[in-house]
Order: sequence, then structure tokens, then C-alpha cells
Amino acid sequence: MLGGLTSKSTVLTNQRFARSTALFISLITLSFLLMTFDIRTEGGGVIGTLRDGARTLFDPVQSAVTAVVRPVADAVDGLVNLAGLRSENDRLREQLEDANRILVETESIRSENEVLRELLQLELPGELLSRSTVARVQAGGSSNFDLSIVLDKGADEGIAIGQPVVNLQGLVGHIETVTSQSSTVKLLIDPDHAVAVRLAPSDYVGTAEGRGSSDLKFVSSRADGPVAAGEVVVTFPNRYPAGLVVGTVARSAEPAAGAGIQTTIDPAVDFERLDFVRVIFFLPDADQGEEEPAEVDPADESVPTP
Amino acid sequence: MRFRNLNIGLLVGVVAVILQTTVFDRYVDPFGVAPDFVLLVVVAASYQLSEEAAMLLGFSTGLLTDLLGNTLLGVWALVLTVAGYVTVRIRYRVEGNPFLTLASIFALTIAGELLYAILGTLFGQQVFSDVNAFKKVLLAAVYNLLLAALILPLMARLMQKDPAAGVWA
Repeated sequence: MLGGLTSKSTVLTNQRFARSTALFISLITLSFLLMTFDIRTEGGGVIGTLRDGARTLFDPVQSAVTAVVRPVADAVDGLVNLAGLRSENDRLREQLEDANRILVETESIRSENEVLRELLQLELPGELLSRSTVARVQAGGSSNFDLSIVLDKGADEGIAIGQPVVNLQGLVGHIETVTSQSSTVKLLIDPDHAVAVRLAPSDYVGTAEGRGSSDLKFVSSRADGPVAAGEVVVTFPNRYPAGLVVGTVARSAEPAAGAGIQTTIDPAVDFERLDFVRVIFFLPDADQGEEEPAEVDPADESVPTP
Repeated sequence: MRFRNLNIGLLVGVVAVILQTTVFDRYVDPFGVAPDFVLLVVVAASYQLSEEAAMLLGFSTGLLTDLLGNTLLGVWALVLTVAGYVTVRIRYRVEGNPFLTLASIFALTIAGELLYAILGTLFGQQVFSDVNAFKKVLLAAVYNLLLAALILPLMARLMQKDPAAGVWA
């Protein structure tokens, strides 16, 4: 009797194990199929529709949560910083005295800057501003490896895939996906992100590649002279309009024989705290037909094509 | 009862994904790294669920993470399915021992993040090009370890499992 019950229990356990194993294998296979399908459709088709649907459904919830959390986070930030305000005040007084001295030197730098802007064929900021919209960041990435942000504006406002995103400090990234009411921005620091850049004043062209951290890697196979720390890094007309500030060269570097130059860039943007950004209605294919991009050396593989 | 707990798990999973994308990734990220809250919630819920329910919870929560994030569809679904499955497989060994339970949360977070990084790299996302990849994995595991002290009892209470038989017994 007892033996019969034991064998029955063993059979049930085995059946249950087989069922859960089958479910496990099915779910893993389904996941792999989804990944493959997503790659093949390049985020479009059914997968794109699914993403659009999920975003449309959850956008209002994410916006509401952000609206509630933002003031609390700001208040906490304020409290944390309260202790440091007095010393910061003293430091700012000293900085003000320094700034007055530097102001005198600024005039000469301003005239130099005008010359550099001409050299770099920069678009006028006014032109960019008139073809742009301001959006609010309503969510961040889904994990520590997902270096993206979600904006509260989408295709209804004229936002399209590939458009550059900036804030007051400089280039933030580009639009990666769009729904009618929201859009996702791939940040400049994402390891999958590379942008053609030009240094000023050395005038070297290369790429700024994301490293997943707070700095970027600058690579140029064309540089045949040294690069100095502090050089300004701006976009080269390619995927983005020319002259958007990317950052400054973090450390000086000398070209290695036959290997060009490599160094790091401090991005102008603080990616930790992004609240408002500006999306520029610039698309490489459409806009570069109108303007003449600067000459790119076809032999230079470090300059990505859109 | 089992379906009731699965439904609770799914609801908490959705809340976890929203909190991950709106709160943790943007505001609660000491040293630039956020806890992997979704993974923690799936593991904590899996301690209270059957094997099938834990896998379904992991898969659906992961799918939502993929849909709302900017990652390949299916990566998090796979990682969280595996996390749910492994949690149920090991829970009989760690239940009743708080130290082993917390150690399992720490190890599962590291394993889950590494699996994500490996899958991402295999499918063309340059996850290991991230110079902070290992820092992110380790810190997320530490944060999950700290949050587990709150989330594990909360999940046990939500799913109305007898605390005497629960993970803190």
C-alpha cells in the first residue's frame, strides 16, 4: 500500500518536472526567436508595433510617476547639498574675482572663436533653434546597460528617428525609436554610439565613441600631430549638423606611428541629471542635400557614414 | 491560491519595471549604478511561487522590460525566466537560512546581469565595451542585497505565505 503511494508520488513529481522543463525550454526558445526576429526586422514590423503599444500604454504612468518623484528627488538633493552651501558660497566669491580677471582675456578668445566657427562651417544656432522642439525626460533606461532616456514627445510633434538631441550643455544623443507620443534617445555614452567629430583648434577629424562611462573615446586615423587637453570637440557634418558641442579633450595625446591618435573626451553634458532636452529636426539625408558638408577623406574609416 | 500569487507577482512585476525606469535609473543610482530592482522582485516572488509560475512571471516581466527599454526584445525575458527557474530550484536549499538567502540574491543578480551582458554581446549589442560593465554588475548586486532585506519579507507578506515557513524562518 505504502509502496504504491510512494511510486504514485514519484510519477507525479516526474510529470511535474517534465512539464516545468518543457515550459522552461519553450520560454527560452521563444526568447531566442524574439531576439532573432527583432534583429531581422530592425525594430520594425510586429515588434515595432508591440513596442509602440507598450509605450503608448505605459507613457502616462511613467509621466505620472516622474511628476510625483521629481520634486521629492529635488528636495532630497537640496537637503543633501545644504551642508555644502556655505563653503560653496565662499568658493563662488573667489571664483567671481577670478572671473572678473578672465573677462578681460575673453575678448581676444571671442574673436578667435569667430574665426574657428567659420573654419568649422557651423550652422547658426538660430537656424537650429527654429527647427527644434523642447521635450521633457519622462523615464530612463530599463537597466544599467541600457543607456537611453524616454522623452514625452514623439512623432506627433515632428520627432523622427535619427534626429539629434541637445541640451544647453551640448549633444545628448540621437532619437532611436519613436511612437506618436514619446521617443527614445540613445545617449552619446552608449557603447553602440559613435559620432563623427572635429577638434578645434587642431582641426583633426575622427570619431567620438561611447564607452558606457562618463567619458568618450576619441579615435582618428588622420591625426599626424599632437592633440592638446582642453581642445573643444564639436560634431562633424555627417549624422548630425556641424558644430554641436560634444565636449573637451580630457588628456593630451601624441600620434602613434601609423596608428593615428587615441584619447578621451569629457562630454559637455551631465548625463546623470537630464530633465529637459531639445530635439533638432535635422535628418542627415534630407538636410545634407541642402547644405554642403565638409570634405571627408574616404580613406578615413574612423568617420562613420549615416 | 497559486494563480492568485501569480497575479500578485505579475502586478508587482509591472510596478517594478515602472519604478526601475522612472525612479531607480534616474534618481536612485549611487555611483552611477542603479539596483536591478526588476530582477530582485522576480527572484523574491519566485521564492513564493511554483516553478511554472516563477518562469511565467520572469518571462512576462522581462518582456515588459524589453518593450519599455531600448534593448533587444527577448533578452531580459530570457534572463528573468532563467532567474525564476533557478530561484525555485535552489530555494529548498536556502530557505530558513537568512545568510544563504541573501547570498543567493547576490549571486543571482551577478549571474543575471552577466547573462544579460553575454546575450547582448552575442546579439550585437556592445555590452562588454562598457568600461564600467563589471562595476555595474557588482554594485547592482550589492544594492539588491541591501534591498532584499525589505523586498523578501514584503513579497512573503503580499503572497500570504506563512512567515514561519518563509525565507526568514
